[in-house]
Amino acid sequence: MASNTVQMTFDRLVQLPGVTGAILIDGNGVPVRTNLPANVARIYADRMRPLVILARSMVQDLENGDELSYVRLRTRRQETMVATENEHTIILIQDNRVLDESWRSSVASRRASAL
Amino acid sequence: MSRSSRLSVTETQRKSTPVVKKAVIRSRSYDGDAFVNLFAHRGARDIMILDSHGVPLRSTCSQRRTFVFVSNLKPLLFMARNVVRDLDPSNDITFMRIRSNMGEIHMTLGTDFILIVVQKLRRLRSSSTS
Repeated sequence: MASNTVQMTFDRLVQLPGVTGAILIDGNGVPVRTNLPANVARIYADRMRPLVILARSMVQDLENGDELSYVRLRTRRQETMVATENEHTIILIQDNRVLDESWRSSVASRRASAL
Repeated sequence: MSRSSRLSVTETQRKSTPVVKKAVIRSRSYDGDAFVNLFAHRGARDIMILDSHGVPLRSTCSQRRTFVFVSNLKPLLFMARNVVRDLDPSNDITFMRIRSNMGEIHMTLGTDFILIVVQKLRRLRSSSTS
């Protein structure tokens, strides 16, 4: 049941604008679904796992009872979102320019609707 | 002269002294205060400025809280930088955002400084990836 929900969420996330890569990782750190080559997905999963573990423990240290939602790493060319939910982890790689344009258009449309 | 900065209306009674570790010559004495006020207006709770090695230079919260934040966030920052370098050696991290249920931490990595902004959300939110 939860696995189906995560799979549907993954399918929805792949449709976002500017997504150049998406990886779904289960609790054991094994990539379950991805649109990248298998070795690239494995490398991303292995590299992001200690980062997520450290971020989760850091969030719990700073505020008791708090939980990590996601980590966003913005680099010069792309933006990587690592979302953790229960045991599954979704890594989403988006292009900076497309992401900025979609964000700007959403802000403009919201402002237009507010007027 | 001791300077104080007010973070929000509910904290007008309590003044937090910025932790200045290095003497910085400024043409106007209220430059930092304007910066702090601008961020406070946008919902930022704490602002910290570190140098590129992770030593805190200025902060709007107390020294103990600054130390707690820096000791927790510094290994995360350097691990994130190493992760990005591992994945693509020509790429480099510029910004990092950690979102949790109660708050959000923004980290800007410049060449000479690291800027950390801690924000609190209005209400409790369930963690979902939708």
